[in-house]
Amino acid sequence: MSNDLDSINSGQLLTFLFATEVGIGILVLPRTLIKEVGTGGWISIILAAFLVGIGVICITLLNRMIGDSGFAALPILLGKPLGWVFSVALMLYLVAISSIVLNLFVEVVRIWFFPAASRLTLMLFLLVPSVYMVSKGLRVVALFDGFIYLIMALLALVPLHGIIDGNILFLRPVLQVTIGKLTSGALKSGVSFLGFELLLFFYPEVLGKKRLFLTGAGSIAMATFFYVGAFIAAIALFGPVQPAHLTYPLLEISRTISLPIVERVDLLFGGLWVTAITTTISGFLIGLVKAVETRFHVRNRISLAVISIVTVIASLITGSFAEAEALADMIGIVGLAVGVVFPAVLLPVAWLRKGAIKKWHQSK
Amino acid sequence: MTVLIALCVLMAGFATGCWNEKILEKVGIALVTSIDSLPDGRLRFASAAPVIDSDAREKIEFVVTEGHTVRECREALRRKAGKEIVAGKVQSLIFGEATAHQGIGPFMEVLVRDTINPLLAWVTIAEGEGSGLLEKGKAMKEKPPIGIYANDLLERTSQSGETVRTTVYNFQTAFYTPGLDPVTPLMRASETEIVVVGSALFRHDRMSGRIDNKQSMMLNLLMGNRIDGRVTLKLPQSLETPKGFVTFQITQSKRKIRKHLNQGKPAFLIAVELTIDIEGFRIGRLFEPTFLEKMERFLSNSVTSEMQKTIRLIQEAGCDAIGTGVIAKASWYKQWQHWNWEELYPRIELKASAKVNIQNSGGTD
Amino acid sequence: MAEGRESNLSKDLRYNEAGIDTIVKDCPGIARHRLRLQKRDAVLFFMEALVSKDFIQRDVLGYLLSQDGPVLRDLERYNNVPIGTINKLDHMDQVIDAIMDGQAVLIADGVNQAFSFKVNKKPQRSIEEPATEKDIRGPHNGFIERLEANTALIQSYLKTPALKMRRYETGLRSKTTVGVFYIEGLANPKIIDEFDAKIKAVKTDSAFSPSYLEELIGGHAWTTFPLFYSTERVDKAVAYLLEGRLVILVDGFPQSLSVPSAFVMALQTADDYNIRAIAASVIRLLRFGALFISLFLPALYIAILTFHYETIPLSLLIPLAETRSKVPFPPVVEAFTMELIFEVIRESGIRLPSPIGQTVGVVGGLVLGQAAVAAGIVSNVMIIVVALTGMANFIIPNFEVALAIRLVRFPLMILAAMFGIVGISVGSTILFTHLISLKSLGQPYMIPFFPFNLRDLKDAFIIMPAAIRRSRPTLAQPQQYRRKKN
Repeated sequence: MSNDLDSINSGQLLTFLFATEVGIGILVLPRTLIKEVGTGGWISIILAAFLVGIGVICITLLNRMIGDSGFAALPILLGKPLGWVFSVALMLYLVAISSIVLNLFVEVVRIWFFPAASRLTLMLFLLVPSVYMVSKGLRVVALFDGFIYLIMALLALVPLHGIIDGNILFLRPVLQVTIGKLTSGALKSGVSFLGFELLLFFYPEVLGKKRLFLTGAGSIAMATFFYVGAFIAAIALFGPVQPAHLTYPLLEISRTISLPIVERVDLLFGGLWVTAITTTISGFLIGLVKAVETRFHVRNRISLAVISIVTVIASLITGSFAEAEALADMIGIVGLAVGVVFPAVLLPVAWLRKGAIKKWHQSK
Repeated sequence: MTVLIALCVLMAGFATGCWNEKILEKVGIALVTSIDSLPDGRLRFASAAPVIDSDAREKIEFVVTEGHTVRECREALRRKAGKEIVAGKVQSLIFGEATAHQGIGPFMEVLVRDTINPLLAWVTIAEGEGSGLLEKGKAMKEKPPIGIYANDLLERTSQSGETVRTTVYNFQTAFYTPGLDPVTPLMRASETEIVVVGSALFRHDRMSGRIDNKQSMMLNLLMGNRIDGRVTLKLPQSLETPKGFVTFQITQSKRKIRKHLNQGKPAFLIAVELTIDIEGFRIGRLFEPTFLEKMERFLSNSVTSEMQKTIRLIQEAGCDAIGTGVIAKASWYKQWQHWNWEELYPRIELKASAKVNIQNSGGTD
Repeated sequence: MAEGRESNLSKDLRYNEAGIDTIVKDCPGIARHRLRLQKRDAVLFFMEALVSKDFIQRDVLGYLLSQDGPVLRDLERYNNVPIGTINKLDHMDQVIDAIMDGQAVLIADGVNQAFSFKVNKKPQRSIEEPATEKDIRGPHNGFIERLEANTALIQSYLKTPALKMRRYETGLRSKTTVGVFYIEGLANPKIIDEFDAKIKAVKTDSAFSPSYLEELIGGHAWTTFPLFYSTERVDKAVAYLLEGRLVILVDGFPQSLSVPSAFVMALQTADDYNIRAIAASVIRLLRFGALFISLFLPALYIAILTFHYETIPLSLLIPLAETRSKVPFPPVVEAFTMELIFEVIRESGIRLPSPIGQTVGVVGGLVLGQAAVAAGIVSNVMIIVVALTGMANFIIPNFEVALAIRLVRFPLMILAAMFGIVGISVGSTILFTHLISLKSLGQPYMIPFFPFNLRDLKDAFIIMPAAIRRSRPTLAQPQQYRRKKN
C-alpha cells in the first residue's frame, strides 16, 4: 500500500503514465479508425492527442493551484455533498475502466491463444499480477512499468515490418476526409489515451512537480507515436479497406512475420503484450486504491481485495465481447470528460475558492 | 507476502489450461489443405499431414471430408482423421480451378478469421481438383511428402519468377483494395510429378485468366518483384550466332512507373531496367562492343514485347496485378471517384519498356 | 554467590573463586593455576583448549613470577607486562566472558579487580582459495574462520587509516563477535547507522552464522533471493569496501557479507576486472544469457510443446514430434521428472567426497539420461534442455542466487503448463515485481535497472574499461562518487 516512502520522480511518473495508456489502444485502434474515418485516421489520433494534451494542461494547473491532487480537494472545491458525489463517480469510473480493460484483455487472450478457456478463470488469472503489483505500492508499480520501454521497442518491430513490407501508396489520398469524421474519429481514439487522467489522483507523491506537464505530455507523445505507427502499418500492409475487417490489425501483422528460428512470432509477441496490459490494469487499480485511501482514509490490504473483487464482478457483468467493445467506446468519451472537461471546469472553481484551499492546507 | 500466497491459492484453484492443449506429438499437423466446390454446391475439403508414428506404414495422412461450409468440413475431420488435425502450420492452400472461377473470397474470409491459420500460407490454384492434386501428390513415391514438395516447388519457382508469390494476406489485401487484384501460382499434377505451370489471374476473387511461366516472369518484373530466374529467347538471323537461342539470368531489376492523364484517362508506362548475365556464347564474340550492343538492343526489344503481351493478357482478364488502380487513386483522386475502375482498367493505356544491360557473360565453345 | 551485571568482584579471593567455579564447573577444558604473588594468593583461570600454552607459561606466568616489585599495582597502572592486551575487569560477567573467550584471567586476594590477558590461540586452517569461487587471474586467497586473521587479510589490501571496523557481540548465548568493516569517507553514514541499529536490536540466543544474521537483519523473510551477498574471496570484499559498501565478518565463518547488495552483483566476479574489458563484457553478457536460460528454458519448452507448436520451424517440427511421440507423458510431466532427477544428482554430488562426487555427477547424468531416453520415459530434446539449464545455472557466480533461480524455475514451469506463454508472462511479471520490491538495508535491490540509473549501467551488462569506470556505483550511496585518480 502506498506509504510515505512511496514517492516517484518525474521520469518514473512518465513511465507510469505511458505504460497505463498503452495497452488496449494499440490493438483496437486501427480497425476503429479505418471504419470511422478511412485512411486519414492517423490525423484523428493526433487530434485526440492534442485534446488530451489540453486535459493534461488543465489537470497540471489544477493540481498546482491546489497544492495537492485534484481528487483530494474535491470536497473543498465543490462543497461536501457534491464533492462526495463526484468522488464516488470518479471511483466508479476507475472501476469501470479497469473492468472494461480486463474484459477486452480476456477476450483478446481467448481469441489469440485459448478459445476454450473459461472467462472467469482467465480473468482471475490475468488479474493476479496486477493486484500483486498494486499491493506493493505506487513506487514498485512505476518501477516495473519501466519494462514497457523494452516491450514497446520489441513490439514496435511489428508495425515496422508492416511499413517496410507494405505499400505506403495505400494511404493516399491522405486529406480526403471531412472535419466531422475526423472529430468523431478523434473521440473514438480517446479511449487509447486513457491513463493520463490519473494525474488527477496523484500529486503529493510526485517529486519534480514543476515538470508535471512535460511528464504528462511526454507520455501522450510517445503513445501517439506508436498508435500512428500502428495505424499506418496496418494500412500499408493490408490496404485501405481490409483492416476494417480484421479484429486486431496489429495482431494480424505479427502473424505475417516469420523469423529464421521462430516461426509464428505472433505468439511470442502475445506474451509481451500481456505484460503491457498488466501495466495498464495495475495503473488504473492503483489510481483506484489511491482514491479510496484519499477519500476514506483507510490503508490496508482489505481495500485492495475488495477492489479486485468488485472489478471482477464488474467485468463479468459487462457480458460478451461485442458489448465490451461498445462499452469501450463509451468509456472513452467518459474518460475524456473526466480528464479534459472536468479539470477545465474545476479550474475557475479552484481560482475562486483560493481562500478555502489555503485554510484546508493549514488544517492538515 | 500474504497477498502473494492468497493469490497463489486462488490461481491454483482455477488452474486448468488443459482444454487448450495442443501437445505437439498428439496433433496431426496439416501441411497442405485444399478446397473444391462440388457440383451440388457442397464443398470438398482435403488435408495432408505427416504421420508421426514409428508404427505407421504410410508417411502421409490424407483425409477428405465434405460439407456445406468450410467449418462443417473441418468438423467432419474429427470423425475420420487419425489425430486431431490442426492448421497452424499449413504451408499452402490449394483451390481447384473450377472453384477459383466461382470465387474464393468467402473461403479466404473464413480461414483468416481463425487466428490459428497462418497468414503466410501460399494460395495456389490447381488445374482440375485441388483434392485430386493432393491425392496424386501423396502417391508420388519419388518425391518428398506432398506438403513439403508443394511448398518447395512454390518457393523455388517464385524465387526464379516463374510464378507470382502470393500468401493468404497478400491475396486478401489485393482482394479488398480497390485498384489491385491478386495473382496466384498455378499447378498441375500428373501421375509422377507436380508442375508449376504459371500463374492464375484474378478479377477480385474470381479467377479470370492464366499466364505461363515466361509471362509470369514478365509480370514479376512489371510488379517490381525481385527474381533471379532464367529466360530463353530465340535469336534472329541478324545476330549471326550458331545457336538459335540465348539464355540469360536476371540478376537485378529496377522498375519505374510513369503516369499521366490522356484525355481524362490514366496512362502508364512501366519502365524496367534489367541487369542480366548471359550464358552460352563463344567468349570471343562477346568482347566485340558492337555485338554486345546489338545483343542488348535485341534483348530489350524482345523483353519489351514479351511484357506487352503479358500486359495484354492481364488487361483482358481484368486483373490489375500491378496495382495501377492504387496509383491512379493516389494521384487523381477527384477523377477516381467518378471512374468505374473495373470497367475502365482493360481499356487504359498500359505500356511497358525494358532496357537490358548485360553484366557478365559466360562463354562456352 | 548470586551474580548479575552489577555483581562486583570482592577483595576476597575465595569469594571470587567460588563465584567463578559455580559457573564454569564442568566446562570443557577449564583450568586454574594457583600462584603466589608478593605474599598474595592468586589464581589464573583459562580454558586449556583456547589458549596458547606458550603465552601462558612464558609470557604471563613467567613474567608474573619473575617480578620483585608490586606487580599487581604495575599491572593496574603501567601495563608493563609483555603481553599485548590486558584488560581490567570489575564484574563477574566480564570475568566469565573473558574466560569463555579464551583469555586468561587473574584474580588475586585483596584486589577487587581481575586482569585478563589475551592469549587466545584458536584453531584455524591455512589460507587457501575458496572452493566455490575460483578465479583465474586474481589472488588465490580467501577468508578463514578467525576474525583476526580475516582482519589481517583485509588490512593487507587496504593500508589506509580510513579503513574502520566496528565490533559487535550478538547472540545472548553464543556471544559471537561480528566485525563490520567500512571505509570512512566512502561508506554512507546513514547506512552504517541503520545497520548499527539493526544489529543491536537482535535479541536471540545465537546469531552465530552470517546467513542467520542476514535473515535477522535483512528482513524480507519470504524471499528466496539473498539480500546480503556473501563471498569468501578477499579481493571481492575489498572491492566492495572500495565501492562504499559495508563488509561484515562473523568470527567462526569464512563467508563475508556485503551490505547493501544488488541483484546485478550476483553476476559479477572478481575476474571481470582482472581481464580486459571487452572480454569481460562478453563473458558478463554470457552470464546474463545463462541467467535467462536457466530460468526460462524448461518453461518455454513446456509452453511451446504443449500449446504453441506453430512456433517451431518446419524442419524441426517432424523430428521433434517423432522423438516426443515415444514418450508417454505430456511435456510438463516429462520436464518435471527430468528436472527433479537432475536436482537429485546435483545434490548427491555435493555430499560425496570430491573425486567420487564429480564422477557420480557425470556418470549419473549420462547414464540416467541415456537410459531414460532408451526406455522412452523422456525425449532426447528434454535431456538437452535439462542439461543446458543445469549448466547455465552453474555459470551464475553467486551460489545463493543460483539456488534461488533453480527454485523459481519450477513455478514458472507450472504456469507454462497451465497457460503457455501467457502463463510465463504472468509468472515473470510476478517475479520481477517481487525483485523490484526487495530492499537491501533500505536500498533498492534491482538497481541499476529499477530504478534506472544510467551511470551504474557501465558495470552491469557490459564492463567499461577502467579509465571510464571512474565513478562508484550509487547503491551504497557513497559519499565520494569519483574514485581518486592515481
